[in-house]
Amino acid sequence: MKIETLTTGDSGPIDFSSFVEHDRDTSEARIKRVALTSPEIFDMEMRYIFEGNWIYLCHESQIPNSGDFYTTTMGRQPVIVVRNNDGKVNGFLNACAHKGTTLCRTQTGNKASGFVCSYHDWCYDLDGNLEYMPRADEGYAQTHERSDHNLTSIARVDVHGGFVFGSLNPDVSTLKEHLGDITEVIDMLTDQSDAGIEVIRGTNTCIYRGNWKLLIENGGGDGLHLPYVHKTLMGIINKRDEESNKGKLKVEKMIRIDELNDKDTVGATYAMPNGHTLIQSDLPNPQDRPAYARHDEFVERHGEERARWMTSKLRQVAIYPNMFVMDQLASLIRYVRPIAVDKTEVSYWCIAPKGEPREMRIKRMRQFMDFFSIAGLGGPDDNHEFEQCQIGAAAAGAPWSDATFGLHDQFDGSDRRAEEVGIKNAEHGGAVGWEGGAVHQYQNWIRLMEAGQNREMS
Amino acid sequence: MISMTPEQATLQAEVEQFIYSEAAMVDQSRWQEWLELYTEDMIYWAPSWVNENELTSDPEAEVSIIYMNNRKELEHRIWRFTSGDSPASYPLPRTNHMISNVAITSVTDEQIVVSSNWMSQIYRDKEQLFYGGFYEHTLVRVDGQLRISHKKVVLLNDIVVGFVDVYHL
Ligand code: FES
Ligand SMILES: [Fe+2]
Repeated sequence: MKIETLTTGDSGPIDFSSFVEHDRDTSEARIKRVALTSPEIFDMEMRYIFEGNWIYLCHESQIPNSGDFYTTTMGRQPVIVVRNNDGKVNGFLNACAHKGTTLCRTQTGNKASGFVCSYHDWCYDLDGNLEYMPRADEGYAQTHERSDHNLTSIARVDVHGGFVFGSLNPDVSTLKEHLGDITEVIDMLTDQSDAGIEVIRGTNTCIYRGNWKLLIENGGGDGLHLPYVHKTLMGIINKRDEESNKGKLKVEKMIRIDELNDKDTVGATYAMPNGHTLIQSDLPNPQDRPAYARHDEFVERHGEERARWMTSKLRQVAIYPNMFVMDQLASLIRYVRPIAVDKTEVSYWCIAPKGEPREMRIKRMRQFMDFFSIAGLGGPDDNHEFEQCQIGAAAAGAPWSDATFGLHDQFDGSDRRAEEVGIKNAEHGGAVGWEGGAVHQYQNWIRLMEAGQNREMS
Repeated sequence: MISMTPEQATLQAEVEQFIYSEAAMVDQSRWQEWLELYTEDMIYWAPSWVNENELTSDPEAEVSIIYMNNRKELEHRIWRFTSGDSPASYPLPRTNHMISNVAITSVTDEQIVVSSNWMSQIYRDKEQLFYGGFYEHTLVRVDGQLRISHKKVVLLNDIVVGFVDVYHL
């Protein structure tokens, strides 16, 4: 038996294109599992994808005022996202220009009077300019320029609908180009309030012991797993319904994802440029969602089809490579931060229209906690599967994952419904569960990895 | 030096034994007995961290780790993790809950509020986890027996490994 291994080091560059085999004649596809286990590939992913392209950083509502900051990482590099005195969102590497100590040490906070380094007191304004160094007259020659010692900016920072993205690599397309028609789906969420949307207080973060791509691929189009991995969630949905029909207890009904795979449900998965994917599907009981109460108002403002997408459809967007905007059983951001080849941090942030009535907020929070919390009734089962996939991926004698479901039934363009709401540049599959989303993500991965490798070798 | 009346000492001992027995039920998978310690309209709340030192304060409208406001939900949760059909919960870990610093913080005719410190050792898949934090039990008497009407669990961690469930806390 031939064991698939990496071809690296002495034998030359990695042939990334060999990681996905998609046979257009038989409509079969498979993906090499070593992409999940190789520390060398992980290292390259950090350089070429997470430190070399647009990634999601945080939401504007997490830094509402001048001087508010949020700390995170881009690949392996610590960064600060901060709102300056003009309200603009800036990004810097979280490392003092002097000796590199961090300037912000908490998740969030306020630096309205600028960054003051606690080590030797160098001070920077919110645009990263070095404004003061102690004992400057006696310590430095006259040729010493303060402006040579500013903070290092994140090369590109841009915002769409409150979602803040950044790229450490200046040589990338605009954010608008990067997101493409995905912006339409983001807007369906942000349009739910004139005041925009906000991240609700409270962190919900876990680390699973598996590769980051396992989650991205699951949320990017794995509609196959719901009835199996989430069997107990389905059971609880039924139990809740029974209780609520008995009228004895005030229990919140859940969204009937158990009925999503029914033949007459209108839904599809779309693969879009730059690795993004979208799953949409009619919800069997949209009336149990907070946004449904405003359906008529949305029809007036946005038209019938768009209003339907806003209130009655499950919409799950995977924005490659590190976030999901989800409006389905609940409305949330799922943020993915790779830590090591087999370690990934996931944060669930509940998002809601600003100023929504308390009744709705309570309902929304309930639906968020039910499925997605780190102690929810669904998310933990997904995360556990990722951990077990990681263990299985070490079986080098079984090097391929199958990704064939629905490939015989996929379409080159978008479809009428999606086009009507502005999602034009996409290919799509006929059924929820179409594995073309994963294939598409990996093809984008190949593109980024090859480009990065070529850049480094030339 | 705190002095206790004989009545206070008796209540302290009763409450301590009650809190320990709750932990024993969890550690020994006596789920039905454990469930019955709670009143039907119980609240079980594990708040989330907002920042390094602040917890969420509004369980209905802010994010929590767990928030259940009736016993049915706890019953469903127990059903879920004992069903064998939840990959996250099968096999269940071995757990060991240590509780100390048990202090009665208020007593009225209706209820007794008790604070304590906890640590749990969780062993599963050849790996060991330690979690810890604080409990606040609000106890009531139902037919003479102590029952839990409200349990607040503070977990010191704001990042957990994989997931958490009631048996970790
Ligand atoms: S490290 Fe910041 S001033 Fe020295
Ligand atoms: Fe899932």
